[in-house]
Amino acid sequence: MVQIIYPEIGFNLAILAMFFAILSTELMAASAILFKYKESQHKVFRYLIPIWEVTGTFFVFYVVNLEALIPSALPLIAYSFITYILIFLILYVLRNASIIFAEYIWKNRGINRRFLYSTYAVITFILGAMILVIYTAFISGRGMDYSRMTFNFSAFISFIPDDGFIIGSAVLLFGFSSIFYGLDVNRVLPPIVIIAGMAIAGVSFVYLGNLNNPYVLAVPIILTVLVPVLWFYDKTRNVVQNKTVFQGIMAVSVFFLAYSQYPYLLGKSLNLLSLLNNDAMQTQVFYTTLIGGVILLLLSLMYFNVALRKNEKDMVQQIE
Amino acid sequence: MVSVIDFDRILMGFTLGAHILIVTLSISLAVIISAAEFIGLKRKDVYFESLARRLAKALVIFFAVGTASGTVLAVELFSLWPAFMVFIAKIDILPFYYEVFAFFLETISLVLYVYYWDAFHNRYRHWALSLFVAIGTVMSAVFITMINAFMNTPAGFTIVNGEPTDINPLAAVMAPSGFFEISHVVTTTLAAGSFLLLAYLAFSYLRNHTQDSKIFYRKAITLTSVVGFIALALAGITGDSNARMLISMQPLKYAAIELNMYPTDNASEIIGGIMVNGHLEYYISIPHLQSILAFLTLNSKTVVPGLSQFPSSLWPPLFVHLTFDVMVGGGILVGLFSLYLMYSIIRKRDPTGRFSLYGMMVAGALIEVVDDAGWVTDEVGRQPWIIYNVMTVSQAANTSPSVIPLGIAIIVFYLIIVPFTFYFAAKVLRQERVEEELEKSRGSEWYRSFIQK
Repeated sequence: MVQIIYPEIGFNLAILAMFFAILSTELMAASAILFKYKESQHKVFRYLIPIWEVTGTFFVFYVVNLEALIPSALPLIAYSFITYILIFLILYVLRNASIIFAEYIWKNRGINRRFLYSTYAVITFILGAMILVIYTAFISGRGMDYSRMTFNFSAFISFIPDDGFIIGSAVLLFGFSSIFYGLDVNRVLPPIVIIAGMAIAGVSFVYLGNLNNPYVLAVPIILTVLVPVLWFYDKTRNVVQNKTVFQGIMAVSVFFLAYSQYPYLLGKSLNLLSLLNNDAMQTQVFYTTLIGGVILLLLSLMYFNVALRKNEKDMVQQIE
Repeated sequence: MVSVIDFDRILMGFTLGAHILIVTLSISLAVIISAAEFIGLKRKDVYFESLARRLAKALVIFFAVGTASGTVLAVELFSLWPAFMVFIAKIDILPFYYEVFAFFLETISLVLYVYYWDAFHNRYRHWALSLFVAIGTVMSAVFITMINAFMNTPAGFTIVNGEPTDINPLAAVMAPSGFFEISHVVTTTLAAGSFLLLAYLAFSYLRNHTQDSKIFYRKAITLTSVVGFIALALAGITGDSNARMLISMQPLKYAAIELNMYPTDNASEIIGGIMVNGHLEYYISIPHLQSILAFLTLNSKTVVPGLSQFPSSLWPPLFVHLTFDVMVGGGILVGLFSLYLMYSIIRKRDPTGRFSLYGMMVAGALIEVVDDAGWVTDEVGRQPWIIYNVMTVSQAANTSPSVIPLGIAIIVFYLIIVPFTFYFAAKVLRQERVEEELEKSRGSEWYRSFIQK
């Protein structure tokens, strides 16, 4: 049986999914920058540079939606993760600064473009790991004390499925990066890495102990396997290398991954439905999300229209 | 010893101050870029088109750091003031939520505007993006100010047994002081950013000696002076109505910023002054002026509020009177200078004389002091409340001691990153000579299209 999702929570999971999808493009870019910098210059940067600013916007979108959805959970997050949050903020500003400085840096002996992009990549990895730690802690509940509003990192990390989910996700994204950015790698490497990452993350995810709708896990599993399979064959490679298709697959996978936990958190000890905001605010947030979603869709269409037209124009010029 | 609550205050105030500094420039750059490109296209003027191109680079840099510092604030709000955000989330979260979509409008339009500049055959479509950027930026400020208006004049709920009931989120969005605050914040922010930019342009004009660069900066100075003047004039008008609004909506804040000890009619305007042993010293008093400004009539019998009407435990720190004076006095000085610049421009005199150029640099620095003084007056003037008459700052704060060491790290980090961002933006703009920028514009499809005709 699959529990029907409450619409407001459905919206929140959809925003989370979009945020993770767009964040993952940065995490994949980070591994490409660190391991294949030269190739990244013409394969990664032209995609990353216009898009990285949107990630931050999605992050704020998710945070504000969460505040509107379950306000009484805010003190729990604020007190339990205050140390992580403040470190996260410093790193976040540094991330933005390093990539924008990299973009416009002048010829300089001390600090060059590669150094700044590598700094950006390392910080992005750390930020991604911190987000995953907080997310995983909320799923498994290990290390979290709900009544005292504290978080014990050593208790969290000593629970193997917590570590497995984070490490498996990192491996998975590492495998995806060569597909998403079309990097020159051995043909069999990405499928092997992706399947290994999926196995580690998937098994760990089940053992986190919060699973409530196990059947919906079939969606991310099928989609994750589909990506390397489509990439492996020349005829279908273009389908999966299409950035929009790939990000769509990623978003749908993350949505159903999160849905499989619904409506619980903290190892099934906390029911999300008990924390929901008052009806008046829920109604307003619902309509705002709908209208805002339409605006966002129109803006995205405008973006893809211009970006695709520019790519076509560049290709024609290259041929000429 | 600073308490955790006071440290929360310091950290929030510091990061907010840094954010305001960056955002003032972002808002004015967005507006001036849009105006410059429009004039460039309309008049087929390559200097204005190049100005838009050049300033867009600075905008992207300030946007990148500004969005990061904005995110820092969004997260700080719930991590430093969890009880406040729980309350806001139940009653007035909508402006934050609206702001997200304004933020999307700004981000996506800016990305397209900057990175796909030459991808547009119809350049007016490209210009329309700059308009979206400006609208998104300004609307972000509008929505955030709505939250501040709610903090000053909360509405849309009733407190029963300490809990909010009868919640009406739309009434909360339309807090009574909203219009007054929004109109003042938007105009002052635009004015502050414009004069800061003007200072940079004046400095650049003095450093550049080629004919092209002189023409380029003169046009930039003229445009920015006009935008700055309009914004400042509107800021003066809205500021006046804002102060009058306080009499009815926040009388205690009004009494504190005017330093009225007792409610009186025909009240004098007190300029300067500090309290020494309960007595006011070192001030100038102008008879009747306060009442004339407050009620726009001579010999008004209406009484202005006084501090004695309220328990002293609820008084805000009285230095807000001095910050208010700095705001008004400094604003008037910059306003007079701006009027002089406008007079020169209308009379078709060169606005790039030595006096004007140095004046612009002084005005650019002064208006930041004015802007910050106004912000401090508004926020400190509401103390000890975080939400007026509903929740105190102490009730809202995160009292975890973990805040302190990392908060200090954030402050130190900001002390490095914010000045460096300004330095970096200035250096990036200097890297490319004006002539190279003009060449880029002259080589564009847009320029060739009308030159060939």
